[in-house]
Amino acid sequence: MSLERRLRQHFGDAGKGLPAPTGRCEEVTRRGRRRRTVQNSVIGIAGVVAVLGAGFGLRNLNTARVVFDAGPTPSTAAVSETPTAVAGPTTEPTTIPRPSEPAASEARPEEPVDRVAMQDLGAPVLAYGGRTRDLKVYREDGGLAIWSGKVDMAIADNVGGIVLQAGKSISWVPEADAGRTIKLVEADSPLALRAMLPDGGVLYSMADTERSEDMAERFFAVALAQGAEPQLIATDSAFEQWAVGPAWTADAGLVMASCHLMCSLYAWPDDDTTFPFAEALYHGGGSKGGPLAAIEGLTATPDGRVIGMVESQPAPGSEPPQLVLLDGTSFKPLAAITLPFDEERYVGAADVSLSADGQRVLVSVESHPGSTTRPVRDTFLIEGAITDTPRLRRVDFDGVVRWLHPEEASRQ
Amino acid sequence: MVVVTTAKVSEMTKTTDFDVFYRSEHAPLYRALAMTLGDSDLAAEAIDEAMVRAYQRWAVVSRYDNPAGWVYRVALNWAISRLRLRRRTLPPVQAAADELRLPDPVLAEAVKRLSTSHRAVVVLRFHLDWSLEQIAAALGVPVGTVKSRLHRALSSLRETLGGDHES
Repeated sequence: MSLERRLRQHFGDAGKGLPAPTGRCEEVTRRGRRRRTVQNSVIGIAGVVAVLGAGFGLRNLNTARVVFDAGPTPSTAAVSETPTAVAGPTTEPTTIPRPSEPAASEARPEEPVDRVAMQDLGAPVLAYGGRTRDLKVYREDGGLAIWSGKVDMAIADNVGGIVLQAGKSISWVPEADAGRTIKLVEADSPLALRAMLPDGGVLYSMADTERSEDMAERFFAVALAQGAEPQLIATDSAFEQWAVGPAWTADAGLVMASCHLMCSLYAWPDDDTTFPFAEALYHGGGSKGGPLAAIEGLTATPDGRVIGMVESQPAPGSEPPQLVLLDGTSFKPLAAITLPFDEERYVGAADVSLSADGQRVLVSVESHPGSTTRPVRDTFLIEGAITDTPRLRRVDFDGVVRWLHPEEASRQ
Repeated sequence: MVVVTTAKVSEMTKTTDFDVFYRSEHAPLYRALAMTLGDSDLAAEAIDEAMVRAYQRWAVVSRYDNPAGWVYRVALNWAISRLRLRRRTLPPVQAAADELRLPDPVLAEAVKRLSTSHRAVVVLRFHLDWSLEQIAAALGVPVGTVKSRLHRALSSLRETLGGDHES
């Protein structure tokens, strides 16, 4: 029997063995009508607000209308100068205390890995998230608080300062201890700080406010300067907000991971600044020869010669996640290092930070400790990543840790 | 006397059209998605969600060449999104995917090892008997991509099955 015939017969028999579908047409149409009613009500209310706003000469109509536009637009760079919440050196213990948390051995099974304190990483790092949300810079002499409160993402601006995203705003701290913050973007839609661009600009994205199968994500670049106007540079019309990255390659091209059924790396953006792209440069799971993989934490060394990311399988019960390093020119795997998690425990939300030579890697990932429904974040330092004997140690911090200066990290 | 407004007539026509579509396509789409995902519960939920969205936009969706393809794509994307979200929000549990009772376990295992994108093409081609063009439209990829995925999927199946597929 030919394979094609065997498949037809197999699927036909399998279909008969499936449980009967429970869906009812009446229920579906009822839900559809209800959603449409709600949608129309919202549009009506917004229309009334817009008319009233115009009548009273309100200046803020864009905010009310943006939900129903084709997509979000960046608000004019709301540049403001605000004092940093906390400035000046603080003394921190070598190990970050977690008083409200049970002892680590009780909270989660300990992997057989050594531990390393933040100050012993040998190079300055940014640290934020987890139970201590403040953004801090850790050097050998202790921690310096840069921002008080929740920080969603922080990256080095490559000229001595820091760019951070907190909620729907992106701010720039020109120098780590300058004591001031410049607000670059204030948005009314969900934001994601992405990366520094090779020309020194900041890349960020905004998703449509209304979630639907037509949801688009728009990418903007804004210069590191007061009053800079964000520029729209690409649109991802993917169904879900799955774009990851980007990172730039050895020839200064940008790559991004996009997941539609499977995750792949693509050159970015294409000629008309619209996703999806042409040929994939690398398919997720390629390091193992396997097929479907989730890609997270896509990043690259400053010269683009090494690309780093974490691959995992989206379905539970599959293989453990791996740190994968690729050659930034050929996109062939250089290393694949399994992280010490059961796939059942691994959540994702990986963040990867590479030293300049790609040999020292900081990886932060979320996992379920098993004793609580809240994920916790673990950070690992991997040394000698592109050698036959990589060494993995756990970093004493439960948030995201990134190298502040990849070059300094390489010299260790 | 019952007054039927133009809007009500339009709504009734829409419901009738959608009703015909639903009754003819719901079960095959559900089966195809269940075989693609290996999870009949998730497939049922995803197809329902996609059907609701189709009803909301029926004036547009009904004019597509293959409305069922649109529903399949929306359902598949929704299901995969749900799988990713599920892992983020739920504590670790045993794999939720139910084991479908498949009549050809050797072939079933080989199909299971395909990537979701390859499995989707194989199921649409050999279960729903869709043309390459229909599959391409449904998945939102070029026909060439469907051809290459199908070729790779069949090659992979032949490799996994060895000489068994000629038996």
